[in-house]
Amino acid sequence: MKNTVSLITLLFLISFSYSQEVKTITSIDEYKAVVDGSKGKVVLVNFWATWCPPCVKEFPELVKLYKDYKDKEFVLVFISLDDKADYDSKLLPFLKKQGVDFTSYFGNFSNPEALMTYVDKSWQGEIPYTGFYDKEGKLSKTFMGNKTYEQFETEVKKLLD
Amino acid sequence: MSRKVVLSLILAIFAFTLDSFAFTKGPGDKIEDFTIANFDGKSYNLSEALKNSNSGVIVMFWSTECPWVQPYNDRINDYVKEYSEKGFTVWAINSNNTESADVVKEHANKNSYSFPMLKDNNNVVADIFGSTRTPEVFVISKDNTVMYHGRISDNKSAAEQNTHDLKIAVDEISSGKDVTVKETKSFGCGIKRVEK
Repeated sequence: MKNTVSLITLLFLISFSYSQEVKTITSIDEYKAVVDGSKGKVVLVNFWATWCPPCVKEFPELVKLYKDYKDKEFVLVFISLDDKADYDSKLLPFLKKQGVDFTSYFGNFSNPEALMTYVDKSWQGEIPYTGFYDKEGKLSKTFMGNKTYEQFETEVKKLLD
Repeated sequence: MSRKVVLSLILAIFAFTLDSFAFTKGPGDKIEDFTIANFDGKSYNLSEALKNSNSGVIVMFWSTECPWVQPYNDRINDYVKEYSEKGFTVWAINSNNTESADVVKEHANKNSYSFPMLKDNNNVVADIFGSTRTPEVFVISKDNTVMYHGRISDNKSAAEQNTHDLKIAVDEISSGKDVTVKETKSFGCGIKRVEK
């Protein structure tokens, strides 16, 4: 009996130590709030989806980057563009498998075109898309297509200096 | 300011914009002539197609996999019929280096596409247009000017579609009117290019 209680307690603690929060954002205002809310820090925003092979390829590199730099005024914002129908069956299991234990976002934008133009006038909508914001909240570098840990790290280091 | 500093500034600006595909052709731009020797044994040349069409050429960058393209498979033949009736020649072009000519051919057969599906080896044509994603559409007038660039419609799902932007542009061009909305955006799959 004592062992059973200990096991249940352990499972309970494990489930709470893994906090996977996914917030839905639907508008430019909400996107702005996410980025502006981290002013004073370097923010990397990555638009991705589980069905996008280049996105999936670079995803672990970004998670590693977050873990290496999370104590250094760095914030990683994942925004998934998965279909609503895939939210429970694909998105959440993927995030869990990748060890995303920080807040990430599900983009269900009412006006995707306006959002794209707000983020970056030259962005036509292809993913993966990565934007780097400096500590003043200004977009200072963008990547289109999948990149390596070293490429992401180089930009983050520049902005942290 | 020394030449070295000026050069560094120019390089920095170039580096910033390089990843943004600032070279994507847009309304008013001309398209460099190209020819695709396709897997169907035919040759597709832009200037010839423009000469032989009544209204112009529509190029749709396409994919066999992209989840933003596949939902159009149930209605793209109907759409192409409408565009063709307005005098346009319509080509779909696959520039992804991850999708072979055999795969593209099989996909076209499976979906019974009524329009030529072209394989753009080494993304040569995608580079000419500066195309970045699928689906992405360019409407070129007979005098080789981009009249419309962007999405097919505002939603990949037929049930949730509100505006058929490409059709609106096609109707306006074929009626001799100015295109009201010349450029639109949509989320899509990045074109998988070869390393050059």
